[in-house]
Amino acid sequence: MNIELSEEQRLVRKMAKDFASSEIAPRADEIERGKRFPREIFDKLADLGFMGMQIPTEYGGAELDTVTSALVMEEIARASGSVALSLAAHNSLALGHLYTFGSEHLRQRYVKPLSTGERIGAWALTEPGAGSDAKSIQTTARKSGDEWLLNGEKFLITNGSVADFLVVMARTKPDGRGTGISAFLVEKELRGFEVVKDQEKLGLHASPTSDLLFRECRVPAENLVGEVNHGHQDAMSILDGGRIGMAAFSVGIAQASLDAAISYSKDRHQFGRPIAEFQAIRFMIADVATRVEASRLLYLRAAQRKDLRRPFTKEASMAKLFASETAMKAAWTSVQIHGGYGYVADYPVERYFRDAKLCEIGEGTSEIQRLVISREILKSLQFG
Amino acid sequence: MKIVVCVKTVPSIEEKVELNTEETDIRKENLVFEINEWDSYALEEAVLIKERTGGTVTVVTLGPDETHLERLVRECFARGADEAIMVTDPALRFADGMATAKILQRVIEDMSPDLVLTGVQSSDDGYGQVGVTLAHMLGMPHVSAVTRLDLKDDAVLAEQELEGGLYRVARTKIPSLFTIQTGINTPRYPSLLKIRAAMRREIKKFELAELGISEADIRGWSAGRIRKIFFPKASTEVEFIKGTPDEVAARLSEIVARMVL
Repeated sequence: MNIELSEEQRLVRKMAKDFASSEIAPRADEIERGKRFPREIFDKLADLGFMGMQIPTEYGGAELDTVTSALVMEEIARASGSVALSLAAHNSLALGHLYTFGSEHLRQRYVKPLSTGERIGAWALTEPGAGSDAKSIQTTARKSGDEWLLNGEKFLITNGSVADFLVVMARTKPDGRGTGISAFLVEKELRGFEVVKDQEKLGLHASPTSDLLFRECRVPAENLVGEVNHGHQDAMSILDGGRIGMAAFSVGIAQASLDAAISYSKDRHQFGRPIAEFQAIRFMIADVATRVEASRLLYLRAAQRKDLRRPFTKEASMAKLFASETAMKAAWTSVQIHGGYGYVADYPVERYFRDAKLCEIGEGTSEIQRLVISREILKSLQFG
Repeated sequence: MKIVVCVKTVPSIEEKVELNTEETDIRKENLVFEINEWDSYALEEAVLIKERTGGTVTVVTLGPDETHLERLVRECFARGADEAIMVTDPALRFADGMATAKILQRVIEDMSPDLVLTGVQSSDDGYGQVGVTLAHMLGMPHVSAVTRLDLKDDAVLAEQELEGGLYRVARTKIPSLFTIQTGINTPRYPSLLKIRAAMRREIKKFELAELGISEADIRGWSAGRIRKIFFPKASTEVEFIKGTPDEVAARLSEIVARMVL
């Protein structure tokens, strides 16, 4: 079995790490405090090809495999959770959905400007009354001539207020549950589309999380993404891939927390010696480091299966579940090791702690991951 | 414009080093290697000149570890190099600045380049010898510690950093060699597409024998021998050495000899 990265994967990861540590990390605290989407960082990410990581070169992308783009996600998240979250929503959700299921017309018109980073994407599924129960969305799309009329609300949409193009899930059959949902490409300029507000939230302040309103919003018929009434299945398959990215995102935050804990525990002296010499601290670091390594292997394994075109739903959910709980554990431990300094905003671990909680919620809560994993495991068993 | 850039792969400065059991070198098995910082500025300067004047940038590197060299060269391609030549041989672990310059001379002299750029020094050994020694061997004028290069036809103005915050401008002609100081430019990040393309590029590889060089040559050319490597002990004593340069040198060699022997 080979678990070594290829030379290309190594070099891409090194470049992402160099870029993230020099160009993103030094500004991560400033953009959080300003609660500002750092468009200038995204312009630089675009120049390097990060805005269309897995899209073929003919559509303006870099055509990376899943393993490599997950490695990039880890390195960006290690520097700034906000930048990584917005990058993930743009790349693996909005662009991923549009490229995978969109018609050639949609690909030509929208994929290239998104891949080259001229435009920002968002992906709108969640509603006030439909989170984990994604089949219960209430936003509707009604055919009227050669247009669709969208009506309803979307809630907690990453990049919602900064996106130029949004992939929006809406009900096209009233009584269909999961079989009556379709996806639409919405341009932000369309009449009837409105950003209601950006939510105040616990962490990830530089990545907008927006509430959106659609009132008789007229979407051209050709902006239907994928087949009519097939939007839910498409969205679920996009989330499977997205979970690999979220697992890598979680490992980035966990690694940043661990790095901070290691460095602080070597510098901080109490009782006449560095606190890293106390076994209580050493064991905490050992436990977190072990979980971080395991989480990384889990996401790499899920990504490798996706690249090999083998089923990866269970592996992606396992990676996302374990890595997100590891991020929370790592951030918790790092704050604890920092003591009082961990609770104040002068040290970045306070930010990691707030950012880490999202890992256990976004793109499927830990409970949903356990549902997916158990369903995948138990479906092959014969009962009775 | 034909530009040759000499590049070296060195342990990352973020790495914590340990000594080998003989105390003659650092342990290199588990270290992360990267492009020598000065060389990354030299490469960027070469690529900037090429982008203005046209031409080619060829990187030349040598060392004992083929994997490290190949990674270095791929990164140079991604950063804009057009061609690469690497010389790899286990015997190159014995090469000091003089031997390195001799080998580079063999590789470069037949290429008749317009410009040869090197870093001022390397971040591992830090001898700062290769660039200027190579210039002498190639019979080229050189300017060291260059912080700005201006080319007009075959005239070159090179700003050189001196000690104590002083700079001077030297005028020379193509072909010339320049050792490049950090800060002369801002090395670019390679894009994902350039990295991907770099993986498919051809590298010219030579072994020492193909250049007519033997291990005995390397050992012969390398004037220095590493007796011992050690971490300096923290001390509260300070000695200010006074006297003529000869007296200072004699006292200094006495102190060093006492530490090593």
